[in-house]
Amino acid sequence: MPKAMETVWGENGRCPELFGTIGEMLRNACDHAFTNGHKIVWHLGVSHLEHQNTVKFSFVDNGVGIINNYNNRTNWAKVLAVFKNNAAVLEKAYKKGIESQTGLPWRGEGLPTIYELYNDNIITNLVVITNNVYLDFDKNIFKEINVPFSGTYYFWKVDKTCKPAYFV
Amino acid sequence: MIIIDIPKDFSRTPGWRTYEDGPFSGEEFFDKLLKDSFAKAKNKGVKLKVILDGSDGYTTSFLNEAFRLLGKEFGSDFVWNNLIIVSNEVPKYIERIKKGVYAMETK
Repeated sequence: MPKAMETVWGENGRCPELFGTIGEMLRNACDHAFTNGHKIVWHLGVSHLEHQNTVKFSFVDNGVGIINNYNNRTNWAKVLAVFKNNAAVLEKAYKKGIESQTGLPWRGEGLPTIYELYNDNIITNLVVITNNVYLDFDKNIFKEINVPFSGTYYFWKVDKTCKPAYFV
Repeated sequence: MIIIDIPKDFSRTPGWRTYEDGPFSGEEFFDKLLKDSFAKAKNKGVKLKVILDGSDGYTTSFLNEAFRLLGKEFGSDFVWNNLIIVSNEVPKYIERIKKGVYAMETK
């Protein structure tokens, strides 16, 4: 994290909110991604574009994915009766959480916390792909796709357009 | 006043919710430091100051679990009225802690 802050802002520093959010992704991978906890596989990629003062991040796990996980554990038909499709469910889950409306067991606030980081402009270009859902928050695209992906993939950037939420 | 500086007294890289989640969890923080410190403050009739600043970052599950257990042990209103949370770096952590303190009342 200090190296990432140096690439963007020119100073080594902590970025507590980003660090905590990556922790949420890890926790979600362990909690939701796998039925067998011994087979947890995840990957965090960090690319430094030093001349552009930009760092690109990607986080991926190859578990069952968010939709399939809850589809297996809850009455998904009841959830879909409230929302028009899987993409709409996840858009809502990230932006506001949906437990109160649907009774879904989103115990933590992991998904809204990830969106909050984007909404607060600490990161930009947030993209999420999980199962048959593609969410691009910058482009306001929330749709289902024809190439289902078993797992969860995140992409985001930190650059000079972001809020400098780091501490030396 | 009794003070806990989490990065100095517990860990600069706090973990997740429970012992099962790995080291330096919210549950471990409650068991090893938070519970006894709050009890001491209560016995002395002073508030407990908890400093969050200086860490690498907190997960919501760490904050929720530690302060949920504190609210459960001592009562939500009493806890909230006798805590001073210092989080100048990320002020929104204070609201997450408050949610944790009152979590048992909203279940």
